[in-house]
Amino acid sequence: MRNFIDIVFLILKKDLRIEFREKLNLIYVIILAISLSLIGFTFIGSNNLIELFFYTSLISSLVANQRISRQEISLDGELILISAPIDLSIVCFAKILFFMIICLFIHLIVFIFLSLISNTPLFINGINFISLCFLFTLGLSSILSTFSLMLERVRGEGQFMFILIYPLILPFLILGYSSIMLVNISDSLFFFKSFPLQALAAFDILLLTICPILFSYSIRR
Amino acid sequence: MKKFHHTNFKLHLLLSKVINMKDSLSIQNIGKSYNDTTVFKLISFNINPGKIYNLSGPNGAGKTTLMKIVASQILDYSGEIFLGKDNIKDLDHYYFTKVSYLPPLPNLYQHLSVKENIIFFTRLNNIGNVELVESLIDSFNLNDFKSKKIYKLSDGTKKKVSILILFLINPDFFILDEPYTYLDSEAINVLNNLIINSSDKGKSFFITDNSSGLKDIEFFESVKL
Repeated sequence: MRNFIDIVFLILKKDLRIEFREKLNLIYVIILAISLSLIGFTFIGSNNLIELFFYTSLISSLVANQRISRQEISLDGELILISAPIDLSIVCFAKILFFMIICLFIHLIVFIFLSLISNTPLFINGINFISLCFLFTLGLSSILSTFSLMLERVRGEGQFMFILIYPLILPFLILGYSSIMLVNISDSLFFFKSFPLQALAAFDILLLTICPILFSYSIRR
Repeated sequence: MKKFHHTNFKLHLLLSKVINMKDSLSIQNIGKSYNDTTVFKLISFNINPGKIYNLSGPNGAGKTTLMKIVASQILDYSGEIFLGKDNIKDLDHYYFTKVSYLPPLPNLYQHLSVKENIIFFTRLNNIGNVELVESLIDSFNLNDFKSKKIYKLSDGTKKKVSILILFLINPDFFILDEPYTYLDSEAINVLNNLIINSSDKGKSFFITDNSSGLKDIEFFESVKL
């Protein structure tokens, strides 16, 4: 177990170091998040700020993930860690944690910018909002990190296997959307007892378990 | 003299003394096709402990593909590869503690420094031999480049760093794909010395080389198809 944690933190530390040193992806993410927030606000206005916040964060995360996952690809197009003498599910787990940090950073940028341009509070209940951000980010990071790394490696007919994971993504997005609708309920206890949030948490656990196993299996089998 | 089943390949065998009886890597009837095109088929040979093998063939014959198959980087092939008695497909990541692959283009993190790359890969492989690190850095004259980022280095220096990391990992089987490309004559000598010393200690090498770096290795015996 100690070895597992050591390796996860070794990879996570390496990824953070590269990302903050390169800066190019971070600057791109900031510009993208701000631009999407501005476009979204112009079209939708301040009526559905909380929805706008999650849509903007989701789209920014999708694009950012595609760029950021490239750092793990070698000059000849392979995953650099493909020959590492460790279970690849550990690599995937580290990548999920790393992308979670990036996603939370995107949330922060979008939150600050939307708050500034709308001059309206995004949420009524801070605990609900932060909890939903965390749960949504965890599931999203699991899916995006795993998919982007797998897409770099699996080619040809193997790509059709992604269809198999669609039944997991769709309920996650529906539950995420349903939870957004409830986030501004002032009673936290009611929010935490609500079915969409509890199911979202269950999906997070499921995705966090399945994605690293699927990643390891698809790359080395 | 060994006979092989495919005319595209010449497998040269350099015999050196076998120090201890470790497992051999047994490649049996390996074939690879892309769509309807057969790259090669029915390739069989053994990589025995303490021996150096040079794989040669014309461009496009599938040398790199075969190397990647042996290094377990390509998994969709016909035939089987055994490490001792175990099929390598059943060994998962344990196989990579025994076999390491050096690709033609260096497999390094471009935005980390030489030192950071070395530290990362040594920790990942659970290696703590600091003396060996310093000795290899000296051998390859990398002292002045330790704090430089990989993307700022020349191709030859990047190659040296890749080779250095590979010899730090020190697996039982080295799969070297064009290891001499970009290297100057001094670095080629250092690499050849490392190969000879390691093979004397029972390490095996499977090398493909189009730049004649292997010509300096003594006791080279070629086996023609």
